[in-house]
Amino acid sequence: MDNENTTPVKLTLFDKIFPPELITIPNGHSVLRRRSRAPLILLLLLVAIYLSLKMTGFDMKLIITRFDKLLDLFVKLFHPKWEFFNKVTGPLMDTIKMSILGTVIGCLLALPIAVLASTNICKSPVIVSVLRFILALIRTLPTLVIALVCALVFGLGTFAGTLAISIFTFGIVAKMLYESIETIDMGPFEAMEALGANKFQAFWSACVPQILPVYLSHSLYCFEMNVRASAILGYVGAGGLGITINERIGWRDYNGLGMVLLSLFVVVVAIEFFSEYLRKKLS
Amino acid sequence: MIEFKNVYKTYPNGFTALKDVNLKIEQGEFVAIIGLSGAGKSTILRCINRMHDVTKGTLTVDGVDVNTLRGKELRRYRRKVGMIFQSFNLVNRSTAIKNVLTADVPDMDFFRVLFGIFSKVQKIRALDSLDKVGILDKAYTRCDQLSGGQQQRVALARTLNQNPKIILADEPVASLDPITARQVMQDFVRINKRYQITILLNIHHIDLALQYCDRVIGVRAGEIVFDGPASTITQEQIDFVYNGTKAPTLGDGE
Amino acid sequence: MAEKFEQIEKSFDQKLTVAQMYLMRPRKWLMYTLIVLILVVLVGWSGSSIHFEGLTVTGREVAKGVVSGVTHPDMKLMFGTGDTDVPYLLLQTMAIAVLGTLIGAILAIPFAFLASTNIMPKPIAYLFRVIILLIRTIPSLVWALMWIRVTGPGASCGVITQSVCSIGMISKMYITAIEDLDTRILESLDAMGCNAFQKIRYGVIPQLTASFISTTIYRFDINLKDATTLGIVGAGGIGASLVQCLNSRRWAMVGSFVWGLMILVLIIEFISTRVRKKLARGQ
Repeated sequence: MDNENTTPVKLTLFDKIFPPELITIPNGHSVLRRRSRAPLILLLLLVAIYLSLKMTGFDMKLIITRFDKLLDLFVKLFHPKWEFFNKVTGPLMDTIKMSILGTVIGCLLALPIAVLASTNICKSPVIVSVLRFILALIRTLPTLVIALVCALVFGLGTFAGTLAISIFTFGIVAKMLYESIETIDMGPFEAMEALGANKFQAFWSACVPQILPVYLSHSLYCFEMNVRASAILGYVGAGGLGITINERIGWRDYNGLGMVLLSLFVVVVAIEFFSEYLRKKLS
Repeated sequence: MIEFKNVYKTYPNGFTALKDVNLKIEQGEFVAIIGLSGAGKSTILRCINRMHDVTKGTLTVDGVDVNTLRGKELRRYRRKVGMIFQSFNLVNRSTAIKNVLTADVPDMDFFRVLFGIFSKVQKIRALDSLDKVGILDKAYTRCDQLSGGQQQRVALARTLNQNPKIILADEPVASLDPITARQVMQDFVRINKRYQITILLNIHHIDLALQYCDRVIGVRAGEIVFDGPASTITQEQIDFVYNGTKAPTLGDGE
Repeated sequence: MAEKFEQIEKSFDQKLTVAQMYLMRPRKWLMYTLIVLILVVLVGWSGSSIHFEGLTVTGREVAKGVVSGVTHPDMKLMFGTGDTDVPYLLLQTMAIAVLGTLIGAILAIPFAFLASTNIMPKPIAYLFRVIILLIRTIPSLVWALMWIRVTGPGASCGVITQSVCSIGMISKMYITAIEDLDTRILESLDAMGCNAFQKIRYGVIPQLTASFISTTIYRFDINLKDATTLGIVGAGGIGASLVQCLNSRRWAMVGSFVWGLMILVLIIEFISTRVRKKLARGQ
């Protein structure tokens, strides 16, 4: 072990169970080789796959033999019922409106919280860890469950959907933002303080200009996700396109569903292009 | 022995990189090729291991006409000729020893290649190669954690592991800092002397070339304008090689 | 025109004064006002159709119920071992995510290679990008509702849905990794005498594995959250039971499901972040 060629390495639990191997080459020099983790990881993975297969009862054969059912469905999806477009526009607009409002509200709420949850600005570890824990909890809740609860509390409709999107956006944007804030250059902040500015003045003129573009970029990214996510919220009664989707599937009107999905596709692609363009400009 | 006989090289875009090159390099020589960028230094090296084809003339290595080699023969020939690049060309995500072991790959059968199974002998030999360049202790470190000089040594070890008779080095020290550059040059000298491997290197810094190499070849616009021992080259000759511009030295900091 | 040029020339002859520089200042406020204005208009437009109608009659009761459920979860359900108890359902949710992510990660490999512009000719690459985009735009819930026709309700439907849904994001991230490939390594392998297969095995694959694994783990994180949602349409996992309890207002059970979900997601997120960090900087 105390060979002059070995650099000190931190031994993990794994290395203690499977101690590193000392390899000596013909000229007498030697080197320590840590045992590969690959076999252990592979074994764990195989066990996980086996258990998962047992638990889910997943059967590839069934899917292959009954695959034609899906193909039938797809053929209908690719022959959208064009006259249905009139009935799509209303809910589609609702979905977009829900995403816009939800994103704006969520992002506005996220800004102060994210600032308070960044270790380089907020010096109190208690506040930081409490906020981060709350954010993490919010992020664990599936949007659809939040939407369902909102719909039960505030009644069916777009308000519940907007609220659900706001909560979801808040959790994600705040997290992305505090991670970005921690990477900003704190030099200007210290310089401002040295000039005699108070903490808020220093933060406003030294940190905000650095944070703002990142914040806008994260918000746009989240908006992209929200448009896609809000399309299904209607499924639990939270307004928007989801209601139409649910209805079409219920009636097995897959040509109509094709039209709904096509409009959604066009809107999502358009928004994605636009937002990607804006985000490129911001960076 | 490497022998160029009236070699011409014209690129598909019509640019003539080599004009009537005649050279003879004996086994175990340590040769520096100097010249401006674009003069044809790289082309000379790349013709030797057939990364480029010669347009006219013959290029023989140990009596074999390089231009006639095809497919498998060519790959077998390339095993004897190691090549080192300015940018190291290592797999950054792999450990040093894995990079060195890739030198054995062309001789292995399909299944061993597919699953990456290397024998104990091969591993020991790879470690030995790493030891020859003095970085045995970094064998199990990922290459992206190594410094530039260490990475170039891994590349050198990989080349040594292929047991070459000739090493071609294309600007091996150009992206290293002056101190590391000198260390790597010393590694080259040591390997050249101890294992009698022919080393041809393209080098930008005239001072390094004169200090470490035995023989200097000056290339200007695709033609050889100087060929002789490093100790005999005069300032006028250097100026001529560099077309009247000041020859770059390590002191310039590039 | 000529006069203008003379004027400009004259101004270049003169030294720039402070006053001139001030006049030439970049007018950023214009852009910022424009952004804010656009946002205000968008929010106003969205807000117009989203109405807050106060709590529903039962809303107050629901809100109270959720709070009481979360604070007093059903402990017997939480730690029971039956196949309707929280641990089993969580394991099943995880099993769905494991299989879904693995199959998705494997299916994404051909898609990613076919859609990479540095490997494939541009028209083919763009065609596959559109297909990937199509897969991504169809919401996972809709996929689940379509697959249910093939597999019938149950965990298998969740697995196949997640496999397909994962292709979109995973292949998008694979493509980035493939397009970032360092091709100089191939040159040196060529110089060493490697054939095409050997070049791929030792030049391409080692560069990709780490980022592919990292992407897969990241997607597993997302799929775990998503798997809970899929339960709502009958695709297995904990989501179905959660929604049932919510609708039948069994708050204590809701509480235990929510706690189980949050704890599982937090643990997995913690582990996945650590593993991915380790992969990025090497052991």
